[in-house]
Amino acid sequence: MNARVRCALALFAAAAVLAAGCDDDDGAVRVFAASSLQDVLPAAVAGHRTGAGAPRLVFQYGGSQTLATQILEGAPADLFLSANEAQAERLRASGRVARSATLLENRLAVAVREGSTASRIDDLARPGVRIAVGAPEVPVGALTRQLFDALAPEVARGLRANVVTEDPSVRVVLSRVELGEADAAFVYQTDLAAARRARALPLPPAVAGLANRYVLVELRDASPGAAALFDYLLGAEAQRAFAAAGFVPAAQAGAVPR
Amino acid sequence: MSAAPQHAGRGWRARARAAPGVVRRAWVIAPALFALFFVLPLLGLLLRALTDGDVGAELRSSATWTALRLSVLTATLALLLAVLLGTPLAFVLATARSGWARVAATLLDLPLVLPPVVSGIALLTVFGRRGYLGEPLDGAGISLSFTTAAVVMAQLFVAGPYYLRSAYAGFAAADPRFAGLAYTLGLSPWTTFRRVTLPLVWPSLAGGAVLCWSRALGELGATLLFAGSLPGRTQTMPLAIVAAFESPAGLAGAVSISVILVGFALALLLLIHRYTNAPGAYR
Repeated sequence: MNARVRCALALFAAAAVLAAGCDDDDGAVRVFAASSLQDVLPAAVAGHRTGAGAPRLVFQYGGSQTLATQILEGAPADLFLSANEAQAERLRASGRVARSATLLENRLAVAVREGSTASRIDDLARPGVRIAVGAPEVPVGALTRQLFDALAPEVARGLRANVVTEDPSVRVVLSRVELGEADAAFVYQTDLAAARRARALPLPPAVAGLANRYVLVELRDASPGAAALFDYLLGAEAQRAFAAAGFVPAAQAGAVPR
Repeated sequence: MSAAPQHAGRGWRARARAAPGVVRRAWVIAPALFALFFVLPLLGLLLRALTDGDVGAELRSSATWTALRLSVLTATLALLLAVLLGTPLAFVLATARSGWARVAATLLDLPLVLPPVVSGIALLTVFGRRGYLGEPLDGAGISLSFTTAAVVMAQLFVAGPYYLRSAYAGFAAADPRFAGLAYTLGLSPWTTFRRVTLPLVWPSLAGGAVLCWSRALGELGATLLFAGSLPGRTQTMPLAIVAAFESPAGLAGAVSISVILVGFALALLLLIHRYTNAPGAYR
């Protein structure tokens, strides 16, 4: 082995050690959170104890299904903020859950592209309107189908016929309207709050309360700082931050909106 | 492609051949281990599908077949377009003497660098409803996004450069003196191309076609952004796999459909390799 080869091997070994070192999160609280919380979570935990001795918070965002799968496959997580009850239930069934609570709710909303003349949901059932929804497998898609089922049959039929795409994530659904490709998108209230080039279309009172429930999960054998963060997220300060982003606080979950 | 060197060369090759048995065996074992890096994950996928998933149920599901049919149809159309339009382009670029041709050839490699989702956005900026060409088209009543045609376009944009690159390399490496000789012997340009140049570059074209078709079959990001995901119209196998991953069956369902896609592609590629003497084929 000549010197150059040895040098290359040493560099390679150093890179491998550095890459492995990235996993070194001793004492940190690892929070796996649904992508829909990505914008609000840093603000919601901003008031949590910081400074010397406070555990570092490490966030990983992704689809709830993906995150739950990763946790079940052995990914290290202390808290899991699931965008739906089904994924929290999956973890419960596997015996990985220490405790859990309703964190907040996110109501279904309709975004229409700027320039659209639609003013009521019935307008979206007319032929030629393009509607983007979530795939039936994702929570927002399942909720959208619940909404269709709750509407008058002829309106529901028109809406279903106008669906041009069933997207795997709510962000993609919203992008259809922001890019002007679709006329309307069925998304969450919080997406609408952050949407560009889109406005809200009011929903009939009978279906306005349709919402997705977020569940906060503390996993078994979580790191010591996890319990305090769990309680903080359910506290008034964090809940106010969630409400400011368009979420319904846990205290009002299940209520019918005005 | 055999693992051991075929020709006695100078330098390291000769030394490797003269080395004692252990070293010579290592010469075979190390590449074999590298091959396992590619094979083992595929076997892992298969094993996971057989233990956790339900491949039989997915095979009986009409949704899987709808997606598979759409995938094969669109990937094949994308390949046909790449071959029909890409072969002349690669020939012109490889044989032109202008420096601009080389610049153009480099530009055509760029879609290979783009993350597919970005490719989808790029397509939308031009062909989308608000795109530079899409807006006038939309005014004329022609809309591309959310159609099967958009799926083919997305696949062509992402996978076409694989064919172009391979065909370009083939044309560039073909000795122009053969064609020149045939031409001076009285063959027409078309006959020269067909009888002399094409046999010379055929291996590159066939190899590029296999790459292009395979990449088109696996295309996901650009298709989702530009064409959407609607079963029967735009939901190809990769999009169906992503949707399945989000379902309650989750990983198990996604893995089962993946195995069907991989198995189907394997069968088709083996058939192609069997009936063509493409040097892209491992014999």
